Amino acid sequence: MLANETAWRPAAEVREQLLLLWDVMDACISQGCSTEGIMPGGLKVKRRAAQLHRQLKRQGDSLGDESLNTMDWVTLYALAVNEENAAGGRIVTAPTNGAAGILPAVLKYYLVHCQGAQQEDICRFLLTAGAIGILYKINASISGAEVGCQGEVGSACSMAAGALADALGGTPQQVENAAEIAMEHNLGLTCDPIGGLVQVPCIERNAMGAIKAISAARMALRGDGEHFVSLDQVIRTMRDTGRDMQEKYKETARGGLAINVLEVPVSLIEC
Amino acid sequence: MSISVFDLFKVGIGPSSSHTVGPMNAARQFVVTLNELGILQDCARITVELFGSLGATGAGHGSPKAIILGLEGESPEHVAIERIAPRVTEVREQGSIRLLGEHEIPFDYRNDLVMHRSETLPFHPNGMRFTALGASGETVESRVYFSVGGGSSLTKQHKAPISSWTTPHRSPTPLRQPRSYSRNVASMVFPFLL
Repeated sequence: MLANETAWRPAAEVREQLLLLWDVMDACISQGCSTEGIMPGGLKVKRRAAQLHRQLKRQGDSLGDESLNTMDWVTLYALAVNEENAAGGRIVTAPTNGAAGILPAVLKYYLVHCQGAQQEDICRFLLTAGAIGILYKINASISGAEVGCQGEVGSACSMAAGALADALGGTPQQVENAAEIAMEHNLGLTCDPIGGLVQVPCIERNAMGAIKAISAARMALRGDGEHFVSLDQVIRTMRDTGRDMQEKYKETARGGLAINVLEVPVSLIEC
Repeated sequence: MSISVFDLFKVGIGPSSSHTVGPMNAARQFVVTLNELGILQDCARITVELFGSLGATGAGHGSPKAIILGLEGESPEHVAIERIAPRVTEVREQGSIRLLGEHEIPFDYRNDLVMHRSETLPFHPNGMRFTALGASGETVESRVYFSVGGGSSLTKQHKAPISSWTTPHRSPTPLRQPRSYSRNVASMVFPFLL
Protein backbone atom coordinates (compact mmCIF):
# COMPACT_ATOMS: atom_id res chain seq x y z
CA MET A 1 0.00 0.00 0.00
CA LEU A 2 2.55 2.54 1.12
CA ALA A 3 5.05 1.96 -1.59
CA ASN A 4 2.42 1.53 -4.25
CA GLU A 5 3.72 3.40 -7.25
CA THR A 6 7.35 3.54 -6.17
CA ALA A 7 7.24 -0.23 -5.75
CA TRP A 8 6.75 -0.38 -9.50
CA ARG A 9 9.11 2.36 -10.66
CA PRO A 10 11.10 5.33 -9.30
CA ALA A 11 9.16 8.47 -8.37
CA ALA A 12 10.76 10.58 -11.10
CA GLU A 13 9.73 8.04 -13.69
CA VAL A 14 6.16 8.00 -12.37
CA ARG A 15 5.94 11.76 -12.73
CA GLU A 16 7.42 11.62 -16.20
CA GLN A 17 4.91 8.98 -17.30
CA LEU A 18 1.99 10.90 -15.80
CA LEU A 19 3.02 14.01 -17.74
CA LEU A 20 3.30 11.94 -20.92
CA LEU A 21 -0.24 10.67 -20.33
CA TRP A 22 -1.46 14.24 -19.97
CA ASP A 23 0.34 15.16 -23.20
CA VAL A 24 -1.60 12.42 -25.02
CA MET A 25 -4.88 13.53 -23.42
CA ASP A 26 -4.25 17.16 -24.32
CA ALA A 27 -3.23 16.28 -27.88
CA CYS A 28 -6.45 14.30 -28.16
CA ILE A 29 -8.47 17.39 -27.12
CA SER A 30 -6.66 19.49 -29.75
CA GLN A 31 -7.13 16.89 -32.46
CA GLY A 32 -10.83 16.57 -31.65
CA CYS A 33 -11.27 20.37 -31.69
CA SER A 34 -9.94 20.62 -35.22
CA THR A 35 -11.38 17.57 -36.95
CA GLU A 36 -14.67 17.71 -38.85
CA GLY A 37 -16.74 15.06 -40.51
CA ILE A 38 -18.86 12.00 -39.92
CA MET A 39 -17.85 9.33 -37.44
CA PRO A 40 -17.38 5.77 -38.72
CA GLY A 41 -19.79 2.91 -38.14
CA GLY A 42 -22.91 3.65 -40.17
CA LEU A 43 -24.96 5.88 -37.83
CA LYS A 44 -23.67 8.94 -39.71
CA VAL A 45 -23.26 10.92 -36.51
CA LYS A 46 -21.61 14.29 -37.19
CA ARG A 47 -18.66 15.55 -35.21
CA ARG A 48 -19.56 18.70 -33.29
CA ALA A 49 -16.43 19.72 -31.39
CA ALA A 50 -14.74 21.64 -34.21
CA GLN A 51 -17.80 23.78 -34.87
CA LEU A 52 -18.33 24.43 -31.17
CA HIS A 53 -14.68 25.40 -30.89
CA ARG A 54 -15.09 28.01 -33.64
CA GLN A 55 -18.20 29.40 -31.96
CA LEU A 56 -16.47 29.74 -28.60
CA LYS A 57 -13.39 31.38 -30.10
CA ARG A 58 -15.60 33.97 -31.80
CA GLN A 59 -17.12 34.80 -28.39
CA GLY A 60 -20.37 35.61 -30.10
CA ASP A 61 -23.74 34.71 -28.70
CA SER A 62 -23.44 33.87 -25.01
CA LEU A 63 -26.95 32.34 -24.99
CA GLY A 64 -28.13 34.73 -22.34
CA ASP A 65 -25.45 34.16 -19.71
CA GLU A 66 -21.82 34.87 -20.46
CA SER A 67 -20.67 33.34 -17.19
CA LEU A 68 -21.69 29.94 -18.49
CA ASN A 69 -19.39 30.06 -21.50
CA THR A 70 -16.84 28.18 -19.41
CA MET A 71 -19.33 25.34 -19.22
CA ASP A 72 -19.37 25.25 -23.01
CA TRP A 73 -15.58 25.00 -23.05
CA VAL A 74 -15.77 22.00 -20.70
CA THR A 75 -18.38 20.45 -22.98
CA LEU A 76 -16.06 21.08 -25.92
CA TYR A 77 -13.07 19.36 -24.30
CA ALA A 78 -15.11 16.26 -23.49
CA LEU A 79 -16.82 16.08 -26.90
CA ALA A 80 -13.43 16.44 -28.60
CA VAL A 81 -11.92 13.46 -26.78
CA ASN A 82 -14.88 11.19 -27.28
CA GLU A 83 -15.26 12.05 -30.94
CA GLU A 84 -11.62 11.10 -31.38
CA ASN A 85 -12.36 7.91 -29.49
CA ALA A 86 -15.34 7.08 -31.70
CA ALA A 87 -13.14 7.61 -34.74
CA GLY A 88 -10.58 5.11 -33.42
CA GLY A 89 -7.98 7.73 -32.51
CA ARG A 90 -5.22 7.77 -29.89
CA ILE A 91 -6.85 7.73 -26.46
CA VAL A 92 -5.90 7.40 -22.79
CA THR A 93 -8.22 5.17 -20.77
CA ALA A 94 -9.56 7.23 -17.85
CA PRO A 95 -10.50 4.73 -16.53
CA THR A 96 -12.02 3.42 -19.80
CA ASN A 97 -12.26 4.64 -23.38
CA GLY A 98 -16.03 5.12 -23.28
CA ALA A 99 -15.55 7.55 -20.39
CA ALA A 100 -12.19 8.90 -21.56
CA GLY A 101 -13.35 12.50 -22.05
CA ILE A 102 -14.33 13.38 -18.50
CA LEU A 103 -10.99 13.49 -16.73
CA PRO A 104 -9.11 15.36 -19.51
CA ALA A 105 -12.01 17.84 -19.77
CA VAL A 106 -11.97 18.58 -16.05
CA LEU A 107 -8.16 18.77 -15.85
CA LYS A 108 -8.07 21.06 -18.89
CA TYR A 109 -10.81 23.17 -17.30
CA TYR A 110 -8.72 23.43 -14.13
CA LEU A 111 -5.53 24.36 -15.96
CA VAL A 112 -7.10 26.88 -18.34
CA HIS A 113 -10.00 28.36 -16.43
CA CYS A 114 -9.15 28.19 -12.70
CA GLN A 115 -7.10 30.90 -11.05
CA GLY A 116 -3.80 29.79 -9.58
CA ALA A 117 -3.65 26.53 -11.51
CA GLN A 118 -0.14 25.45 -12.40
CA GLN A 119 1.36 22.80 -14.66
CA GLU A 120 2.94 21.25 -11.54
CA ASP A 121 -0.53 20.30 -10.37
CA ILE A 122 -1.03 17.80 -13.21
CA CYS A 123 0.67 14.86 -11.50
CA ARG A 124 -1.20 15.31 -8.25
CA PHE A 125 -4.49 15.65 -10.12
CA LEU A 126 -3.92 12.38 -11.96
CA LEU A 127 -2.73 10.60 -8.80
CA THR A 128 -5.76 11.74 -6.80
CA ALA A 129 -8.04 10.60 -9.62
CA GLY A 130 -6.08 7.35 -9.77
CA ALA A 131 -6.44 6.79 -6.03
CA ILE A 132 -10.23 7.08 -6.37
CA GLY A 133 -10.33 5.01 -9.57
CA ILE A 134 -8.45 2.16 -7.90
CA LEU A 135 -11.18 2.00 -5.25
CA TYR A 136 -13.76 1.47 -7.99
CA LYS A 137 -11.66 -1.06 -9.87
CA ILE A 138 -10.92 -3.12 -6.75
CA ASN A 139 -14.24 -2.84 -4.92
CA ALA A 140 -16.71 -2.73 -7.79
CA SER A 141 -15.98 -2.63 -11.52
CA ILE A 142 -15.15 -0.13 -14.24
CA SER A 143 -16.58 -2.40 -16.95
CA GLY A 144 -19.80 -1.32 -18.67
CA ALA A 145 -20.39 -4.94 -19.62
CA GLU A 146 -20.29 -5.85 -15.95
CA VAL A 147 -22.10 -2.98 -14.18
CA GLY A 148 -23.38 -0.62 -16.89
CA CYS A 149 -22.34 2.97 -17.60
CA GLN A 150 -22.30 3.86 -13.89
CA GLY A 151 -19.01 1.92 -13.75
CA GLU A 152 -17.52 3.88 -16.65
CA VAL A 153 -18.89 7.43 -16.76
CA GLY A 154 -19.83 7.20 -13.06
CA SER A 155 -16.31 6.20 -12.01
CA ALA A 156 -14.67 8.77 -14.28
CA CYS A 157 -16.97 11.50 -12.96
CA SER A 158 -16.16 10.53 -9.38
CA MET A 159 -12.41 10.47 -10.06
CA ALA A 160 -12.50 13.87 -11.76
CA ALA A 161 -14.67 15.41 -9.03
CA GLY A 162 -12.33 14.25 -6.27
CA ALA A 163 -9.22 15.35 -8.14
CA LEU A 164 -10.68 18.78 -8.87
CA ALA A 165 -11.78 19.25 -5.25
CA ASP A 166 -8.22 18.45 -4.18
CA ALA A 167 -6.69 20.76 -6.76
CA LEU A 168 -8.92 23.60 -5.58
CA GLY A 169 -7.67 23.16 -2.03
CA GLY A 170 -10.23 20.74 -0.59
CA THR A 171 -9.59 18.71 2.54
CA PRO A 172 -9.55 14.90 2.25
CA GLN A 173 -13.10 14.94 3.62
CA GLN A 174 -14.23 17.34 0.91
CA VAL A 175 -12.43 15.30 -1.72
CA GLU A 176 -14.21 12.17 -0.56
CA ASN A 177 -17.46 14.09 -0.52
CA ALA A 178 -16.94 15.32 -4.10
CA ALA A 179 -16.13 11.81 -5.34
CA GLU A 180 -19.15 10.43 -3.50
CA ILE A 181 -21.58 13.06 -4.82
CA ALA A 182 -20.38 12.44 -8.37
CA MET A 183 -21.02 8.71 -8.22
CA GLU A 184 -24.23 9.00 -6.21
CA HIS A 185 -25.89 10.79 -9.09
CA ASN A 186 -24.70 8.34 -11.70
CA LEU A 187 -26.07 5.29 -9.85
CA GLY A 188 -28.19 3.07 -12.07
CA LEU A 189 -26.83 4.51 -15.31
CA THR A 190 -27.19 1.90 -18.04
CA CYS A 191 -24.96 1.17 -21.02
CA ASP A 192 -27.24 1.08 -24.08
CA PRO A 193 -25.13 2.22 -27.03
CA ILE A 194 -27.10 2.73 -30.24
CA GLY A 195 -25.94 0.38 -32.95
CA GLY A 196 -23.37 -1.01 -30.53
CA LEU A 197 -21.19 2.01 -31.32
CA VAL A 198 -19.43 4.19 -28.75
CA GLN A 199 -21.19 7.31 -30.04
CA VAL A 200 -24.76 7.84 -28.86
CA PRO A 201 -25.26 8.43 -25.96
CA CYS A 202 -21.59 8.02 -25.03
CA ILE A 203 -20.06 11.20 -26.47
CA GLU A 204 -22.55 13.67 -24.99
CA ARG A 205 -22.62 11.73 -21.77
CA ASN A 206 -18.95 12.51 -21.26
CA ALA A 207 -19.72 16.21 -21.52
CA MET A 208 -22.50 15.80 -18.97
CA GLY A 209 -20.14 13.76 -16.77
CA ALA A 210 -17.49 16.49 -16.84
CA ILE A 211 -20.00 19.19 -15.91
CA LYS A 212 -21.38 16.99 -13.16
CA ALA A 213 -17.86 16.41 -11.80
CA ILE A 214 -17.22 20.14 -11.57
CA SER A 215 -20.58 20.69 -9.93
CA ALA A 216 -19.90 17.89 -7.42
CA ALA A 217 -16.47 19.32 -6.57
CA ARG A 218 -17.90 22.79 -6.01
CA MET A 219 -20.81 21.45 -3.95
CA ALA A 220 -18.36 19.60 -1.72
CA LEU A 221 -16.05 22.61 -1.41
CA ARG A 222 -18.96 24.84 -0.40
CA GLY A 223 -19.60 22.45 2.50
CA ASP A 224 -17.34 21.48 5.39
CA GLY A 225 -16.72 17.89 4.32
CA GLU A 226 -19.44 16.45 6.53
CA HIS A 227 -21.77 14.27 4.51
CA PHE A 228 -24.33 11.55 4.88
CA VAL A 229 -23.22 8.80 2.48
CA SER A 230 -19.59 7.67 2.44
CA LEU A 231 -17.62 6.99 -0.72
CA ASP A 232 -17.22 3.35 0.33
CA GLN A 233 -21.00 3.04 0.67
CA VAL A 234 -21.69 4.53 -2.73
CA ILE A 235 -19.08 2.29 -4.36
CA ARG A 236 -20.73 -0.71 -2.77
CA THR A 237 -24.12 0.54 -3.96
CA MET A 238 -22.82 0.92 -7.51
CA ARG A 239 -21.51 -2.65 -7.39
CA ASP A 240 -24.82 -4.03 -6.08
CA THR A 241 -26.87 -2.01 -8.56
CA GLY A 242 -24.64 -3.30 -11.34
CA ARG A 243 -25.10 -6.87 -10.18
CA ASP A 244 -28.89 -6.48 -10.25
CA MET A 245 -29.00 -4.68 -13.62
CA GLN A 246 -30.44 -6.70 -16.49
CA GLU A 247 -27.99 -7.89 -19.12
CA LYS A 248 -29.72 -5.89 -21.83
CA TYR A 249 -28.42 -2.71 -20.20
CA LYS A 250 -24.83 -3.87 -19.99
CA GLU A 251 -23.14 -3.00 -23.29
CA THR A 252 -25.14 -5.51 -25.29
CA ALA A 253 -27.17 -2.97 -27.31
CA ARG A 254 -30.30 -4.98 -26.55
CA GLY A 255 -32.15 -2.45 -24.40
CA GLY A 256 -32.80 1.24 -23.76
CA LEU A 257 -31.80 3.75 -26.42
CA ALA A 258 -30.22 0.96 -28.45
CA ILE A 259 -33.65 -0.45 -29.32
CA ASN A 260 -35.85 2.65 -29.14
CA VAL A 261 -34.12 4.92 -31.62
CA LEU A 262 -33.32 2.83 -34.65
CA GLU A 263 -36.11 1.10 -36.52
CA VAL A 264 -33.66 -1.46 -37.78
CA PRO A 265 -30.86 -2.46 -35.44
CA VAL A 266 -27.45 -1.63 -36.86
CA SER A 267 -26.10 -5.12 -36.58
CA LEU A 268 -24.09 -4.95 -39.77
CA ILE A 269 -21.77 -2.30 -38.47
CA GLU A 270 -18.09 -3.00 -38.79
CA CYS A 271 -15.36 -0.64 -37.86
CA MET B 1 -1.77 -3.14 -3.59
CA SER B 2 -1.29 -4.96 -6.87
CA ILE B 3 -2.74 -2.19 -8.96
CA SER B 4 -1.07 0.91 -10.28
CA VAL B 5 -2.33 4.27 -11.46
CA PHE B 6 -0.96 3.18 -14.85
CA ASP B 7 -3.48 0.33 -14.90
CA LEU B 8 -6.18 2.99 -14.98
CA PHE B 9 -4.55 5.47 -17.36
CA LYS B 10 -3.20 3.73 -20.44
CA VAL B 11 -2.46 5.01 -23.92
CA GLY B 12 -4.42 3.07 -26.51
CA ILE B 13 -6.83 3.42 -29.40
CA GLY B 14 -10.57 4.00 -29.68
CA PRO B 15 -13.38 3.33 -29.55
CA SER B 16 -13.51 1.01 -26.52
CA SER B 17 -11.05 0.00 -23.83
CA SER B 18 -12.84 -3.25 -23.03
CA HIS B 19 -13.78 -4.10 -26.63
CA THR B 20 -10.79 -2.70 -28.56
CA VAL B 21 -7.77 -2.28 -26.27
CA GLY B 22 -8.40 -5.38 -24.11
CA PRO B 23 -8.97 -7.79 -27.04
CA MET B 24 -5.94 -6.38 -28.87
CA ASN B 25 -3.78 -7.02 -25.80
CA ALA B 26 -5.26 -10.51 -25.43
CA ALA B 27 -4.67 -11.39 -29.10
CA ARG B 28 -1.11 -10.16 -28.89
CA GLN B 29 -0.58 -12.05 -25.64
CA PHE B 30 -1.83 -15.25 -27.25
CA VAL B 31 0.62 -15.16 -30.17
CA VAL B 32 3.45 -14.07 -27.87
CA THR B 33 2.65 -17.13 -25.74
CA LEU B 34 2.66 -19.37 -28.83
CA ASN B 35 6.07 -17.95 -29.68
CA GLU B 36 7.40 -18.48 -26.16
CA LEU B 37 6.16 -22.06 -26.20
CA GLY B 38 8.00 -22.54 -29.49
CA ILE B 39 4.82 -23.52 -31.34
CA LEU B 40 4.11 -20.40 -33.38
CA GLN B 41 5.48 -22.01 -36.55
CA ASP B 42 3.25 -25.10 -35.98
CA CYS B 43 0.17 -22.92 -36.18
CA ALA B 44 -1.62 -23.29 -39.53
CA ARG B 45 -4.88 -21.62 -38.55
CA ILE B 46 -6.19 -19.46 -35.71
CA THR B 47 -9.77 -19.16 -34.60
CA VAL B 48 -11.05 -16.45 -32.29
CA GLU B 49 -14.41 -16.55 -30.53
CA LEU B 50 -15.94 -13.57 -28.77
CA PHE B 51 -18.61 -14.07 -26.12
CA GLY B 52 -21.14 -12.03 -24.16
CA SER B 53 -20.97 -8.28 -24.59
CA LEU B 54 -17.94 -8.65 -26.89
CA GLY B 55 -20.01 -10.90 -29.14
CA ALA B 56 -23.01 -8.55 -28.99
CA THR B 57 -21.36 -5.17 -29.58
CA GLY B 58 -17.83 -6.13 -30.62
CA ALA B 59 -18.47 -5.25 -34.26
CA GLY B 60 -19.44 -1.67 -33.43
CA HIS B 61 -16.76 -1.41 -30.76
CA GLY B 62 -13.88 -2.26 -33.10
CA SER B 63 -13.10 -5.70 -31.66
CA PRO B 64 -12.42 -7.41 -35.03
CA LYS B 65 -9.82 -4.84 -36.12
CA ALA B 66 -8.25 -4.96 -32.68
CA ILE B 67 -7.94 -8.74 -32.78
CA ILE B 68 -6.42 -8.76 -36.26
CA LEU B 69 -3.85 -6.14 -35.24
CA GLY B 70 -3.12 -7.90 -31.94
CA LEU B 71 -2.53 -11.22 -33.69
CA GLU B 72 -0.06 -9.42 -35.93
CA GLY B 73 1.81 -8.31 -32.82
CA GLU B 74 0.68 -4.68 -32.68
CA SER B 75 0.05 -3.03 -29.31
CA PRO B 76 -2.65 -0.43 -28.57
CA GLU B 77 -0.06 2.02 -27.33
CA HIS B 78 2.29 1.90 -30.28
CA VAL B 79 0.21 0.98 -33.33
CA ALA B 80 0.27 3.71 -35.97
CA ILE B 81 -3.31 5.00 -36.17
CA GLU B 82 -3.15 5.67 -39.91
CA ARG B 83 -1.98 2.11 -40.59
CA ILE B 84 -4.95 0.44 -38.89
CA ALA B 85 -7.71 0.69 -41.49
CA PRO B 86 -5.59 -0.17 -44.57
CA ARG B 87 -3.92 -3.13 -42.89
CA VAL B 88 -7.22 -4.57 -41.60
CA THR B 89 -8.72 -4.24 -45.09
CA GLU B 90 -5.67 -5.98 -46.53
CA VAL B 91 -5.97 -8.91 -44.13
CA ARG B 92 -9.66 -9.30 -44.93
CA GLU B 93 -9.26 -9.03 -48.68
CA GLN B 94 -6.13 -11.13 -49.03
CA GLY B 95 -7.36 -13.74 -46.55
CA SER B 96 -4.05 -14.01 -44.77
CA ILE B 97 -2.57 -12.73 -41.53
CA ARG B 98 1.02 -12.42 -40.27
CA LEU B 99 1.13 -13.77 -36.72
CA LEU B 100 3.45 -11.64 -34.59
CA GLY B 101 4.43 -9.95 -37.83
CA GLU B 102 6.40 -12.96 -39.04
CA HIS B 103 4.39 -16.17 -39.49
CA GLU B 104 1.90 -15.83 -42.35
CA ILE B 105 -1.16 -18.11 -42.36
CA PRO B 106 -4.54 -18.05 -44.10
CA PHE B 107 -7.21 -16.08 -42.23
CA ASP B 108 -10.86 -16.26 -43.20
CA TYR B 109 -12.44 -13.23 -41.55
CA ARG B 110 -15.97 -14.66 -41.70
CA ASN B 111 -15.18 -18.10 -40.28
CA ASP B 112 -12.09 -17.64 -38.16
CA LEU B 113 -13.48 -14.73 -36.14
CA VAL B 114 -16.75 -15.77 -34.55
CA MET B 115 -19.04 -13.45 -32.60
CA HIS B 116 -21.28 -15.40 -30.23
CA ARG B 117 -24.10 -12.93 -29.81
CA SER B 118 -25.97 -14.68 -27.03
CA GLU B 119 -23.46 -17.01 -25.45
CA THR B 120 -21.48 -15.94 -22.39
CA LEU B 121 -18.51 -17.55 -20.66
CA PRO B 122 -18.55 -17.88 -16.87
CA PHE B 123 -16.63 -15.28 -14.78
CA HIS B 124 -17.04 -12.16 -16.90
CA PRO B 125 -19.29 -11.00 -19.80
CA ASN B 126 -16.29 -10.10 -21.98
CA GLY B 127 -14.83 -13.53 -22.74
CA MET B 128 -12.56 -14.48 -25.66
CA ARG B 129 -11.28 -17.87 -26.74
CA PHE B 130 -8.21 -18.12 -28.97
CA THR B 131 -7.40 -21.49 -30.56
CA ALA B 132 -4.30 -22.33 -32.58
CA LEU B 133 -4.74 -25.26 -34.96
CA GLY B 134 -2.04 -27.40 -36.58
CA ALA B 135 -1.74 -28.41 -40.23
CA SER B 136 -4.13 -31.34 -39.84
CA GLY B 137 -6.67 -29.34 -37.86
CA GLU B 138 -5.61 -30.52 -34.40
CA THR B 139 -5.65 -28.03 -31.53
CA VAL B 140 -2.13 -26.89 -30.74
CA GLU B 141 -3.05 -24.43 -27.98
CA SER B 142 -6.25 -22.84 -26.72
CA ARG B 143 -6.62 -20.04 -24.20
CA VAL B 144 -9.45 -18.06 -22.71
CA TYR B 145 -9.03 -14.37 -21.83
CA PHE B 146 -11.38 -11.85 -20.26
CA SER B 147 -11.41 -8.14 -20.96
CA VAL B 148 -12.35 -6.89 -17.52
CA GLY B 149 -12.62 -3.19 -18.29
CA GLY B 150 -10.33 -0.26 -18.96
CA GLY B 151 -8.26 -2.27 -21.43
CA SER B 152 -7.05 -4.88 -18.95
CA SER B 153 -7.06 -8.50 -20.05
CA LEU B 154 -6.80 -11.50 -17.79
CA THR B 155 -6.16 -15.10 -18.73
CA LYS B 156 -8.33 -17.78 -17.25
CA GLN B 157 -5.38 -18.87 -15.16
CA HIS B 158 -5.10 -15.46 -13.52
CA LYS B 159 -8.61 -14.72 -12.39
CA ALA B 160 -9.05 -11.53 -10.46
CA PRO B 161 -11.73 -11.39 -7.80
CA ILE B 162 -13.61 -8.63 -9.62
CA SER B 163 -16.73 -10.73 -10.01
CA SER B 164 -16.72 -12.03 -6.46
CA TRP B 165 -19.74 -9.91 -5.76
CA THR B 166 -20.47 -11.38 -2.37
CA THR B 167 -17.12 -10.64 -0.74
CA PRO B 168 -16.19 -7.04 -1.42
CA HIS B 169 -12.79 -5.81 -0.38
CA ARG B 170 -12.60 -3.22 2.32
CA SER B 171 -11.53 0.12 1.02
CA PRO B 172 -7.73 0.05 1.00
CA THR B 173 -7.66 3.77 1.59
CA PRO B 174 -9.16 5.11 4.79
CA LEU B 175 -10.46 8.27 3.19
CA ARG B 176 -12.46 9.17 6.25
CA GLN B 177 -9.67 10.59 8.32
CA PRO B 178 -9.92 12.75 11.43
CA ARG B 179 -10.32 16.40 10.61
CA SER B 180 -6.80 17.14 11.80
CA TYR B 181 -5.32 14.70 9.33
CA SER B 182 -3.02 16.81 7.25
CA ARG B 183 -2.24 14.66 4.23
CA ASN B 184 -4.10 14.76 0.96
CA VAL B 185 -5.80 11.86 -0.78
CA ALA B 186 -3.10 11.31 -3.39
CA SER B 187 -0.37 11.15 -0.74
CA MET B 188 -2.32 8.57 1.26
CA VAL B 189 -2.15 6.18 -1.65
CA PHE B 190 1.06 7.35 -3.26
CA PRO B 191 3.01 8.67 -0.25
CA PHE B 192 6.46 8.82 -1.78
CA LEU B 193 5.39 10.74 -4.82
CA LEU B 194 4.15 13.98 -3.37
